[in-house]
Amino acid sequence: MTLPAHWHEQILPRLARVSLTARLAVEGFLAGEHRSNRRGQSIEFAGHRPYLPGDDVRRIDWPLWARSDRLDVRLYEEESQLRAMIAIDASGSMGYGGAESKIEAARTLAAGLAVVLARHGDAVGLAVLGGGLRSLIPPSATPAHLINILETLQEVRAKGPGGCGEALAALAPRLPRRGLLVLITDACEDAGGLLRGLRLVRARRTDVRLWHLLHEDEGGFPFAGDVRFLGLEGEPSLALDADRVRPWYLRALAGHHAELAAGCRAAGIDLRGFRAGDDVALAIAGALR
Amino acid sequence: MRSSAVPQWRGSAQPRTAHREPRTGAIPLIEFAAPWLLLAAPVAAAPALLHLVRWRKPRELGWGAMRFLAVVAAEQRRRLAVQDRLLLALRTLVLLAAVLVAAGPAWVERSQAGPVLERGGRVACVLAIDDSAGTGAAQGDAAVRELALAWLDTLQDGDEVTVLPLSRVNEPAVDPLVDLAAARAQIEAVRPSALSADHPGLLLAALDRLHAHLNPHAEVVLVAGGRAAGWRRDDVRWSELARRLAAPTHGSRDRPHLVVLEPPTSAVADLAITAIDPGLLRTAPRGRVPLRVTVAARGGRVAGAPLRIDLDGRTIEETLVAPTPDGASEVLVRLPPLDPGDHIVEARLIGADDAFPLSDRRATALVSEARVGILLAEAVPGRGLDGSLGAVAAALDPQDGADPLAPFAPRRIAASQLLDPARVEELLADTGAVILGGVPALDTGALAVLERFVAAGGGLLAIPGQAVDPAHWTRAWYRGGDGMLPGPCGLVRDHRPPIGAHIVPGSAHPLAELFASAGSAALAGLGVTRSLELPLPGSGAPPDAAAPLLLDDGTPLLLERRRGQGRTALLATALDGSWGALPWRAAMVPLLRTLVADLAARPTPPRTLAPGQRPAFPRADGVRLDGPTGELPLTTGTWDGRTALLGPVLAVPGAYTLLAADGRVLARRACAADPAAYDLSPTTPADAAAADILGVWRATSPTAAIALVAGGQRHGYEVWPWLVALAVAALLAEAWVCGRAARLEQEQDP
Repeated sequence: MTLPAHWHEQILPRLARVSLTARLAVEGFLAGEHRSNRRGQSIEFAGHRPYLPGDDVRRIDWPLWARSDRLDVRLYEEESQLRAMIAIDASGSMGYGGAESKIEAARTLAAGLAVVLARHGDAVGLAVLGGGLRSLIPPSATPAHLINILETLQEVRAKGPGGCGEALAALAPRLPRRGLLVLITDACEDAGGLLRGLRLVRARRTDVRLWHLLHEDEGGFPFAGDVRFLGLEGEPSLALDADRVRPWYLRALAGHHAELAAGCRAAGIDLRGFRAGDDVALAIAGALR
Repeated sequence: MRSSAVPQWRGSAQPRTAHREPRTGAIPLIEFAAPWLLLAAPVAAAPALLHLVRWRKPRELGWGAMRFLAVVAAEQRRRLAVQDRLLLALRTLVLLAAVLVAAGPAWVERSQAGPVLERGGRVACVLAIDDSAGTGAAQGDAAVRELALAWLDTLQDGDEVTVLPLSRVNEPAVDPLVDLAAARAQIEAVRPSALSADHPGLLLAALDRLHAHLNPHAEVVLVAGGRAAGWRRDDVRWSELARRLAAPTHGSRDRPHLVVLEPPTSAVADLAITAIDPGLLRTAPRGRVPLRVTVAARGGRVAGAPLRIDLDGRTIEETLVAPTPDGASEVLVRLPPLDPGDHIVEARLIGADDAFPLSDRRATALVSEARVGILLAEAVPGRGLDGSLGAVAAALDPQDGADPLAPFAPRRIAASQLLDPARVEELLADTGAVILGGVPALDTGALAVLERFVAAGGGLLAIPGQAVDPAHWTRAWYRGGDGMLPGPCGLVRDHRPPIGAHIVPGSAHPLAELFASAGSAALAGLGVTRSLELPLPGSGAPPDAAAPLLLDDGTPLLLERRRGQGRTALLATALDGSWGALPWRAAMVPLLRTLVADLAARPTPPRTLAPGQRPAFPRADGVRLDGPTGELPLTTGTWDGRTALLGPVLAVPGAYTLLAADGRVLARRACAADPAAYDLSPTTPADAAAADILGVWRATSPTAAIALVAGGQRHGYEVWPWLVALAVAALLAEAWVCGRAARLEQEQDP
């Protein structure tokens, strides 16, 4: 596996520290020792509940029925492996930013999460979105699988139209139920469409974490004078006086973000902002707390 | 056409008749006071140009969040475009209004009622008023003022006018007046001067004054005195006037219109002193100068009058003169012996019964010079007739200093004294000319002193002798034309038999004039036996040299050349008797005296001046100048490159005296009018035809003058206040639009 040099030099060592300093959080949230809230058969007894028609009769606690005439089913805590899917938006708009492009930040962020999850024995998969579901690596916990993910990430390029909502609709049936989806996107698309896709994922009881990735320029719009904006996703260019449209642009951006935040809140989706160029390790640590 | 208001458009060769065609109906148009400022109108396009320049070069940027910009563009593009165009229009409007305001627009409506002079906008008028001496006859100056005032009445507020009397054409130009009351005061102050009328000169000066005007409709109005003298039919300046009138004037959209207002005049009976001629203006002391005074009667019968002759303010002669009608009488007066110095002779008609008093007096100046210092440097010193220059000294001052009023004061020295330059400087202090007699060589320092003396205005005469080496003179004194000799010296030649000399025909040299009038016999018998061979001017001698007298062998007897402000002369033969009999011939004395007087003459300021000239005097302290009208101011200036006291421009003929503080007379000057100034012949159509080539409008009475333009009276409305208001409104609107945009943007800022 060949990873970019700065991953080796800057990101991975710091992620190792993240795993140490935030171990409790990681363990409580994502780690391999993650205790599933899914009750099942296991060696550790969790309690009883009344028998319901359809229950496996083998799970009835017959000694209890003998002692108390209660027909209960034995419940056991099940120690399970987390099945996580990291989805990154690789549409053209993610290519903005030059050396500190959004796609670069997204790859770094995704790789960091994959490494952290893999180190704790969880199964990690990768979905590349952009003009639909561009590629999919199902979750797995093998070391070779992690290498595969990292290599795939390395080859991801920002291109083509956006539309994460539609891609999520295509991805949702392939996601493991009750798993975890981490979506890294700049959300430069219709918020309604994106939220629809996310709700489809949530309907599968999949925990969803949405990283809203923005470039510093997109958040502040620091341009001046006449600028011809060339769409990175094939949109027609726009010649505008940057000084004069800035307030309106920032208002539109804020409105979009508000709509997205409201939708995520309603759907129980964790929404986090991330700026290209931000410290990836700190961001992951922050998310894991 | 002498009394009609209808313009006469003579001179069909001129294509300028087109703009003088009668027009009818109201003609509204916008006029500009400074139309050339409209050239700045493209400045108004600056906002649009800036906009285009900026629009054409937007920075290109690949952008991810196009979705939000698209939303903004869809919502705001139209509003921003409208705002942009509105601001563009407002800013362009402001600049355009500013340019138009600067150009001074006026809305002018002209109504035409007949064939009158059209005034295409506000007027730039130069009133060229003839205040020559002739206008003073029979109160003609009042008619001139009346005509000028009538024309002034046709002007309106906003028009410009320059009042230019003939007597002020040489004064520095002043800004035109927009205050018509001030112009009226200037016209009312015009009085006849002593100048002779000069209409072409006055019109040329008036055209020059037009350059200071800004208004578009240029008019040059000649208010003539009605006398023929001013028209000067043969003057070549009429052609120059025609050429200049055909050219556009500065700041005008039209060529200047020429109007002549001239009152009708009639012949004036006048007894005038038309000449006072002493024959020569420079005379030797004690000379009895004959004075010829001419008195003419013109314009009909006039009674005779006593003629009084004053010399330096003292009456020396009085006689009655009564010339026949249109005839002249001459009075010959022999002046008393004159002391050295300046003298003024003034002739006055006492109590002449005519309408032109200016012509009743006339003056002239005389100069009597005595004891001009002449330095004689002899190779062989001697006394009496002995020595190299004994005969020369005797010719210049036969009484050897006994006569204090002798014209020359020769001083004989040995040539050896010239070896000391300091001594030479001292000797030259009061010297008008130096004569070197047979001096073979000079010290370099002395040579330099003599050359400076000549360059400063002194005269030098070199006479050969036995010891002279012509080659040395040529080498050291001529120096290829840079030295003090007028030409190179050739060989010494003997003449057997002796030869004479003759004048060069056509020469203007005083010697040539002298012997031309006295006959050439005296020159023919000079008896020259030996001479230096001198080259002719242009054939060995410098072309600017002169040879007024030639020996019979064709070589110059005298070669003369101007060096600096002085002159040097070289005689071909000696005057000590060794080279011929010239010293003992009859021609010797007049030849030598005329030659030396001419060499010793220094440039002096003129003593008889014409009105309009300024008298010049040698610089002195504590002096005053008295004239016919009292004391006159003196200023320090330069005359002929030298510092001098200058009097004012003389306007009144008569005697002017420079007095020391103790009352001594230091110098005198006379001011005499041009005889043409006394020509009181009324203008005839033939006289005024000189101006026909210009194409003029004419009027001869105030009523006619007003009628010339009354039909074309203009109704003008100043537009610039409205433009200013428009510009201010546009500025306010621009500020409001900008402020509104800023508020909107502020409201949008999340």
